[in-house]
Amino acid sequence: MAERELLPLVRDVLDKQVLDPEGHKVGKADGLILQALANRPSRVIAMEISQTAAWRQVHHRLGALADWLRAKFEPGQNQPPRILFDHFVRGGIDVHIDISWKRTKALVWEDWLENRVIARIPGGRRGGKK
Amino acid sequence: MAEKNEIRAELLLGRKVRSIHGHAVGRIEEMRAEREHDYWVVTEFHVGPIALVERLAVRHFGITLPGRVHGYRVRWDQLDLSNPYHPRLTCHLDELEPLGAPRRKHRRAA
Repeated sequence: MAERELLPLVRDVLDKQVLDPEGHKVGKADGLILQALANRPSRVIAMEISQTAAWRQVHHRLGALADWLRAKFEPGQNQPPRILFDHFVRGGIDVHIDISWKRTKALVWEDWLENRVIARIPGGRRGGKK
Repeated sequence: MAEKNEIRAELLLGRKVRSIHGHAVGRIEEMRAEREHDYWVVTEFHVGPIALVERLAVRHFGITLPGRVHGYRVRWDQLDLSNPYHPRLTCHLDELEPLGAPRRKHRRAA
């Protein structure tokens, strides 16, 4: 019988570039959220794309500071963006997901910058596109 | 705010695993997940320097020291993660599979 395929989470998912089905970069998988279950193996529930998770790997106080800054200044969001692991397709050099970047809310800062800053620059209404 | 039963995998990385007697076994370097119906579940943890070599994908350079076990494959039920900052084995050291050894058939608890 063939051995079951195991996914190396650290090597193939963590800190890897996340790509949507059209190849758009969504961000890096900075964190992985596991759900501890009684008498069952922990379930992988989500990938987190956030500076908070990245800074938390350096030091928990830096993570707490980044989280405070995010909660204070990030436009229109209370929680760091998470992509449910149900959307995971495959890992490796990049992580491929089966939903569009528009549904992930991971690019909230880029959207804010485009609407509030780039669009106010003369000729910048189309986000720099010709 | 994180849920109470949520564990951050990235924070488990590099945590020192201790045996039931309190001796250091190694650090968590890799976690392996497998598909169970619609979900992915973490079924084993790789502990020790060989696990780090494996994670960095430089295994084939032959970085090993003879005569010692430098890594273990720890099944999910052999590791107590109730305190993720201080993971602890729930079994004796000789019950663990050394990394590089052929995989045992029964990886799960009955």
